[in-house]
Amino acid sequence: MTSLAQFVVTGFTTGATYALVGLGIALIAQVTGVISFAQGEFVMLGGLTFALLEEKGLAAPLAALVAIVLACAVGVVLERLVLPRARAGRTDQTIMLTIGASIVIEGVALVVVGTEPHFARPFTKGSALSVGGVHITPQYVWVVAITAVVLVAMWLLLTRTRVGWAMRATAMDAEAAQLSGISPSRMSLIVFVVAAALGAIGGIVLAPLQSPDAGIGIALGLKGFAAAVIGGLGRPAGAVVGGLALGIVERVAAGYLPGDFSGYSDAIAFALLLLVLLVRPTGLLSALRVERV
Amino acid sequence: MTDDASTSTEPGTSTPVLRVRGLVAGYDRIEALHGVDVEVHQGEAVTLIGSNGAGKTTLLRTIAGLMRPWRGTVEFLGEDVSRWPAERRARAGLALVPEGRRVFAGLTVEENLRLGGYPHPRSLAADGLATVYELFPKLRDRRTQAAGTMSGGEQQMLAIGRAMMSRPKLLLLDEPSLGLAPLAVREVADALVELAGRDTTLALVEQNATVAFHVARRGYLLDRGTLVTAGSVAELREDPRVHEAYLGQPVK
Amino acid sequence: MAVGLAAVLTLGVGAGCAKQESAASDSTEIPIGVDIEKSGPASVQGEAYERALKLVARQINANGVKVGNQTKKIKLIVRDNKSDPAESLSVAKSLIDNDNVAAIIGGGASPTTMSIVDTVEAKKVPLVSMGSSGAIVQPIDKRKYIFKTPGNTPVIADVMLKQFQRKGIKKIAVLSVDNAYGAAGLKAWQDLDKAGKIDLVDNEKFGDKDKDFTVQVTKAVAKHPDAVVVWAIPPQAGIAAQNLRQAKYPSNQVYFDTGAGAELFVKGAGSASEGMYMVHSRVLAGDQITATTPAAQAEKKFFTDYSRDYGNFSGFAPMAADALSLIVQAITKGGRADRETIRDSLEKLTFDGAFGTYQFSPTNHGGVDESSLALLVVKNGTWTLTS
Ligand SMILES: Nc1ncnc2c1ncn2[C@@H]1O[C@H](COP(=O)(O)OP(=O)(O)O)[C@@H](O)[C@H]1O
Ligand SMILES: [Mg+2]
Repeated sequence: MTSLAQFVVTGFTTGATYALVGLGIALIAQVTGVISFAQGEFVMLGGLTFALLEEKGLAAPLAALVAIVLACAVGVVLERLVLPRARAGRTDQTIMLTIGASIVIEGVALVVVGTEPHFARPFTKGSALSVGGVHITPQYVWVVAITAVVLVAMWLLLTRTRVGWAMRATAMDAEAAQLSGISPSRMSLIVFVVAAALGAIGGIVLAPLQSPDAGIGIALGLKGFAAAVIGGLGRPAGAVVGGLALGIVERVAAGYLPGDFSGYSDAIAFALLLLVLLVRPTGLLSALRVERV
Repeated sequence: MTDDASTSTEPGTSTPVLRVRGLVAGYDRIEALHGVDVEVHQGEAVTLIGSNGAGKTTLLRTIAGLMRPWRGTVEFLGEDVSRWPAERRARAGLALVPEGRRVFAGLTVEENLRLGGYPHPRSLAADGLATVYELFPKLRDRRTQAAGTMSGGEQQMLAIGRAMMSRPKLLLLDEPSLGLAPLAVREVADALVELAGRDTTLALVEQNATVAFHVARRGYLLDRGTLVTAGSVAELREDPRVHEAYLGQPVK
Repeated sequence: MAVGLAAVLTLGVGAGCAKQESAASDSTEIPIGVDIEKSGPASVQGEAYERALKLVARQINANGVKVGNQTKKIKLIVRDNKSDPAESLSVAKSLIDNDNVAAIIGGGASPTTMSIVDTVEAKKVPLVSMGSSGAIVQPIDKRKYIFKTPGNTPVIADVMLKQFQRKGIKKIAVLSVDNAYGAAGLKAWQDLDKAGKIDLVDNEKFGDKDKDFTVQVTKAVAKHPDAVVVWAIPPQAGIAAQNLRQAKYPSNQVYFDTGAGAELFVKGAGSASEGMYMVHSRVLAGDQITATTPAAQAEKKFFTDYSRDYGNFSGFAPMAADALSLIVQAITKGGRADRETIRDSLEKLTFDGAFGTYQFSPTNHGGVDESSLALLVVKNGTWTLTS
């Protein structure tokens, strides 16, 4: 029982990052119709830059800020690349482009930073708390708290601000939004930047737990995609739930499989994705243009 | 350019709010408009009638900027806006109530209306809302209802209200009567008459000539991508080509 | 993106060209292929290997290699196997068939070596691997051309076992990465379990790309082992250390294999590494070595040179450094630089390298001997020899 609780807590932490990536993917898909497989790279960019700068002695908040700004800048470049094709209705090309961009971002990171992982200190010192036999390190608390704050901020952005309304309107009906004076290309730019920032934050909070290196992006992008699809690509809230569910299922499954098989947690995540796609085969495509946000 | 506020019914006497010249537009390789000229003047209500497939929607979408003209120009308030994106035209005061209403189904009535006022500062919203609710009291009662759950007539009112929120200098409407129950058609038509009476400059596309002639003073007949005739509503009513275009549909 | 891609390609291609031109193939050069993990999960090793090889090649080429009455230079042909066993095989084939190398160094780990040993053996090319699994060099009649620098897995396990016996530890849990490297480690402990030397209470595996082992650690700790043995490389080794600390498992009951990777491990594990043990060559405590024996001198010199050139030391570096030194020794001793001579000569070699002492024989192709290995402990953030 204690073990189960421990697995859930751990899964929740990893799932928080999947959720942030998945949320970015869902928002981009909603607003622009593009499915971006490059979102994992923003986790890498955010986490790696943060860890690197922190190693170099920069104060953590400043390192985090630089990491987020860098990720956002790369987000802008990605958007400028993808948008013309998306505009021309070439969604197939945009998917290939995001995959290509992902490889290039990783390649550049490898050239610039090298292959070594980098190590960030936990945000606060202190040893793991023991709550009813479940070990919770302070960094877990940070991951969950910051993710929660970011999600609430996103919700407020989407429901309480003009820009959020405009994004939702574009997601629901881009032409009708245009007729209300909303620029779809501006919305596209904003949503790519927001998604990049979400990924970077996910990478930063996770960095002290899972030393990032240049190669972590692609797998995280796939997990984020799985999270978004499991939650139904149409609903940002779904992506968040999907990400947390994925993280928890992954860890719990690893926990209850015999030790010999506990290395297969990735396979479990993708089996879950396949299952969702099989049970809801229309989920992927029909959800792309649903009305709700 | 808008100093001549008199209800000019004759084209060419002042700078028109809208001047479309030699407009050619279409889809892929199919040309749907073959060189169309249209003018709308300050304060007037103009209608564009024509049978199904004549090119009315294509014309309005091109004017609004949702489609690029192949040739020809669209001038709005004396400026050539042919290359402006739709949102820029909307911000400049060119509003289109699109075919099929296209309300934001997941949002409430009031959220839809507020989005209509997107180009303007929030402080103007209350004023705009009051005007719309006065024109369509039903919308006030349904303020918090999701737009997608309302009847067609109510959605049409909402679509018009949303466009009004942008304080348009020209209101384009694409078949607002389409698919509505007779009673709703009546309600929408009355609202449009009311708007026209308030000096709103509007261009109404209709297949339903009854509604069109009820609202407008002047009109154009479009047939297979070409303007066939233009004139006052009285003239159009008598024109045999109008009757022909409507294939026996009664024109009152 | 196209521009970025082009830039990356140009960089890669440019670097490749430069490498090949500067060492244009002629008879005064000995081509040696290098098949290592320059990218992928084991890239941390690959990077240290490449640095070490370049350092050693530079030092050797400064004086040249005496081959009979000629002086030749070493030409390294370095290829990336992407930490992928299948990729490693095509790298090895290409090195043999296209580059006509005299010998191969690599793969840098057990998985990327196991995939190539049969091919390399069939083509009769001498190979010195940095993988630790015993299966790399056994059975010896099918591994006539295959050698390796790390100690055999059972030898490493034996160093730990001796410590366990001293401390009266019996109940062991093993955490291992799910590949040929981790499997070799696990098997060594399963064999000791069968032999009644220890009681293996739990074994847990994790994927080579995983970065959180809380689940595995939780399960292992729940069995109350007296010691937890971890078979992993960085950054996984460091994360495992953190996860163990987080589960409040006592540090002084945690043991890592050589693969844990020294400095990077301490950096990754942070304060969690304090008090944990690792079996490694003495070279790791390089600055603490009193250089009296030739072996100790070689170790200390490499430690100093590498640290000077690259800022900090890597526990993987000496494995590759010795792979090259061994081949060069074999060439010098054999007086010829052809594949057969290198093989025959390697098999007779006794050598004091940076990683330890090698005593190859027709029945032993298996890396540094037990005397070179030590049990180290992290004290104040650095590896320290245990008495
Ligand atoms: N999306 C489209 N793709 C191709 N052809 C179209 C499309 N929409 C309309 N058309 C064609 O363009 C012509 C004009 O259509 P439209 O402007 O919708 O007419 P109306 O609004 O007067 O009914 C018709 O022949 C129609 O078939
Ligand atoms: Mg139409």
